[in-house]
Amino acid sequence: MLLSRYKYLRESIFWFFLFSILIFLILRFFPLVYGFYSSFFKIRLGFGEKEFIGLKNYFEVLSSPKFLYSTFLTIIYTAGSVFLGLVIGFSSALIMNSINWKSKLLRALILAPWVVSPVVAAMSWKFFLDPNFGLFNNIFHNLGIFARTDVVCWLSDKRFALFTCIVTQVWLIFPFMSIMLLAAISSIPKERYEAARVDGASPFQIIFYITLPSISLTLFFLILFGMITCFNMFDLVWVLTRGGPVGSTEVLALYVFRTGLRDFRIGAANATGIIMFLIMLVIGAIYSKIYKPEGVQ
Amino acid sequence: MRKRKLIIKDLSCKSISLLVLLLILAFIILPIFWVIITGLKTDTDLAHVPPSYFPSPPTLKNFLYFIDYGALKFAKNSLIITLTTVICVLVLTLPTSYFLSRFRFPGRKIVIGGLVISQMFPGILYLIPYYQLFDALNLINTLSCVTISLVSANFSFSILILFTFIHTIPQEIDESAMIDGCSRFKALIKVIIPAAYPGIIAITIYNIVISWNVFLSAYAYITDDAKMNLQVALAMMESALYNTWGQRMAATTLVALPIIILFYIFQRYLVQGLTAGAVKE
Repeated sequence: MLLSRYKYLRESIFWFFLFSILIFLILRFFPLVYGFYSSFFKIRLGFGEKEFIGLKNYFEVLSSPKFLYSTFLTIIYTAGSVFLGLVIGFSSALIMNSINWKSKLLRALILAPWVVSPVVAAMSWKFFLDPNFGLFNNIFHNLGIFARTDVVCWLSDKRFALFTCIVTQVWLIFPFMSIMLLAAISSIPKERYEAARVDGASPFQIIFYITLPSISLTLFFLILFGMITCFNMFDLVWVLTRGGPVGSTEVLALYVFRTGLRDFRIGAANATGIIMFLIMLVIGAIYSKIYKPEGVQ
Repeated sequence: MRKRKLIIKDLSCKSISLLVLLLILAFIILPIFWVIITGLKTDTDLAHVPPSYFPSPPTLKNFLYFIDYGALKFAKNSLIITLTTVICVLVLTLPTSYFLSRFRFPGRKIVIGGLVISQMFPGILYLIPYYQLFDALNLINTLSCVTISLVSANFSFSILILFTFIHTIPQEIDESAMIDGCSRFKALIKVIIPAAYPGIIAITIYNIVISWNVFLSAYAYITDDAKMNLQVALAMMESALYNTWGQRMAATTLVALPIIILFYIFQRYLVQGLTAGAVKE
C-alpha cells in the first residue's frame, strides 16, 4: 500500500523533477526574496556600502512626485494600449471570421508584427513618424491636410509622446490578441447567430449580446496578458523616447531602471519593484482563480 | 421589401468592415513598407525632402554596411543566447511537465499553483536583484546573465504549455512502453516526445522568439561592445550620429528578418500551442 502510494520515489525522473523545481525556485523566487530583503537597505554597489534603514526606501519612493507621476503615466499607457489593442484585435478578428475568401495572406499580414521585437518596432515607428523623413506626416502633407510648416513632432512634443508610445505598443500587441479572439469567435456555435438573426437582431446587437458574452473568458485572459505586458514595458519606450520629452513618457519600468542602474540607488529601485509587484499580485490572484490548466482538480 | 432592406443593411455592413480592414492593414503595413523602402535608398535619395515613396535606383549598400558594422559578431551573440536558452528550457521542462502529468504526490497543487502565479511576476522586478546577484557572482558582462534571466522568465510558461499537451496523451501508451522494458526516461524520449511534438515545437519557437528579441537584460548586464546582441546593437546605432536613417533602417530589417521567416514557417504550431495552453473554455 505504502509502496504503491509513494512509488514515484523509486523513479529516477522524480529526482530530476526535484532538481528542476529547485532550479526554478532559485531563478524565480530567490531573486524576489533577495530584492525584498535589499529594499530595506541603503545600498551603493561598488562601494561596499550597505546600511539598514528599514522602511525609509518605501517612504522615499511613495512620497516622490516623480514616482507618482510615473505610476499615473504607466496606468494611462497600460489602459490605453490594452483597450485600443482589444478594439483593433476584436474588429480584425470579426472581419477575418466573416470574410468568405479565407485568405491566408490576410492572416499572415495581420500577424506580421507579432514576433517583431520591441526594439525593431520602436525603431520603425520612430522613423515612420519622423517630422521630415517619415511617411506618416508626408502622406497627410501630400493629401493637402496640413502644410509642411506646421508639421507634428509626434515624439518630441510633450502632448503627443505618450500617445505615440501607446500606438506603437498597440501595433505590437494586437496581432496576438486578434488571433486568440479569432480562435474563440470561430468556436461559437452557428446556431446562436441564426437564432438571433431570426429574431431580427441588428449586427451590433449580435456583437454585444452573442459574440462578446461567448468569448468573455478569452477577453479576460487577454486583458490580464496585456496589462502584464504593458505594465512592464521598458524596451519600446526606452528606444522611442528615453522617457522624454521632460519626463512625459517616464513609465515605471524606466523609473526602476534609472533609479537602480543609473543613480545606483539599489534599495529604492527594489522598493519600487516591490510596490509594482504588489499591484500585480492582486491581478495575479484573480487570474489564477479563473484560469486553471487542464488536469488540475 | 423586407428582403431589400436586409440587402442594403448587409451591403453597408460589408463596406464598413472593408473600410475598417483597409485601415487596419494600412496601420500594420505602412511602417514596415517604409522601413524596407528606406533601407533600399541611396544617400542622395535619403537627403531629399519631401522623401520619395520609392527608391530610385534601389541599392543594397545600406544592408552591406550593417555587415561591416559588426552584424555577424552581434548575430553570433544573439545565436548563443538563443541556443543556450532553448536547450536549458527544454531539458528542464520536458521531464518536469511529464512527471507533473503522470504522478500524484503531496504538494502537486502547490507546485502547479506556484508555476501559474509566477507567470504574473513583473519582469522588471527581477532587473535589480539579478544585477546584484550577477555582480556578486562576477557574471556581469557575460552572455550567461542574459540566458539565466531568460530561463527564469520562460520556465513556468513553457512547463504549463507542455503540460497541457502531455496531459492529452493517454497514460496507457507510456505504461505499455514500460511493460516492454523502457524506463521512465526512455518512455519519455520514445513515446511522449513523438506524441507531444506540436507542443514541443510551440515552446521551442516561443523561446526562440523571446530570446532573439531580448533587450533589457542584455542592455543592463552587458556593457562590453563585443558582447552586445543584435537588439542592443540596433538600439545603440541610434546614438551614433554618423549613421544615416538608411543604414539604421536596413539594420532594422536585417534584425527582424530571421525571426519573421522562422515564424511564418512554424506559425501553425505557435498559434495552436498558445491557444491550447492559454484559455480553456
